[in-house]
Amino acid sequence: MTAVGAHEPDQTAASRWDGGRSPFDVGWGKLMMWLFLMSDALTFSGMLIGLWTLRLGSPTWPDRAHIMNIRLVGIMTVILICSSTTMALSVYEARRGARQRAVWFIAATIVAGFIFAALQATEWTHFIADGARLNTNPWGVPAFSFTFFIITGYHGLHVVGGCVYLWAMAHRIAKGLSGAGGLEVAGLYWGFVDLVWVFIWPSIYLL
Amino acid sequence: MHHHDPEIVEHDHMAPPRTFLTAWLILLVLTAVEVSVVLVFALPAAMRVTILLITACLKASLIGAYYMNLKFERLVMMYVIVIPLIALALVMFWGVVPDAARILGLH
Repeated sequence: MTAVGAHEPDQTAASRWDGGRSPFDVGWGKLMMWLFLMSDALTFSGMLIGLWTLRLGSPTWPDRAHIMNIRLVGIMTVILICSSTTMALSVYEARRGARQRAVWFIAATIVAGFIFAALQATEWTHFIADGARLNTNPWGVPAFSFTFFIITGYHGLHVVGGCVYLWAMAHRIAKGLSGAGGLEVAGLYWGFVDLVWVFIWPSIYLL
Repeated sequence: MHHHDPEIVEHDHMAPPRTFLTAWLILLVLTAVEVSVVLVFALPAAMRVTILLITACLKASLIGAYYMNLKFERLVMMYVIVIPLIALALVMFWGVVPDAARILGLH
């Protein structure tokens, strides 16, 4: 009897999944970050699906263009896009070994992140001043302000948390404690924060 | 047992800065399209929704492929990440929309 594996046409594909090596060709840090981001993506999906269920089931939904400042949120979206570009550039510089340039690009990313969070706080302040609360609002659809606060709040926490994470990474890169691999993992997180906003922004403000 | 495993070879491919800047410009243009279909042009609702869904999917693909480096990972890695999310979207759409539509019909 010969082993079944001996007849496999693609020996390398079989041995890739036999254990003892990384089948995805990525380090543990990157794989773990992707697993975390997957679970986080499912959480955000759940929230957005909840929003759409409530919205489709509601006879009316307030007109966002009259309540919220769409232009301001458009600027926030642009700032977040710029920040993920500087993040990608910082990973590129770190890979080249240009540590100082990498730190500057991380700093630019952090500044953009804080500006985004500050504008989101402004948006919240206006919305609350207009009478919106977690469980009630003047427009007669409680689910409207509830989904707004929960979803943008959860995303805002990710932005602020990401700024702290990047701050720590800037320190580690500057001191030589982390290499380009560690920064790339942080870059995945930041890219995800932008990726999620791509779906939050039309769901909450535009559609 | 704390030796470096020579079998794990990280892919060193990454897009050059020019690619990031191109992606950045396309993302800005798509965002401008999103804002203008809401604030500038008076389009029929169905067309507006279709444009916004397409732009969101294009933007998400650009960010995933270039900023999150998925284009340069092994294909199996991309499948593991993308397929469950697409499956979730389809299953939830199929599970949720008929219910929501029925509730709407009861009003």
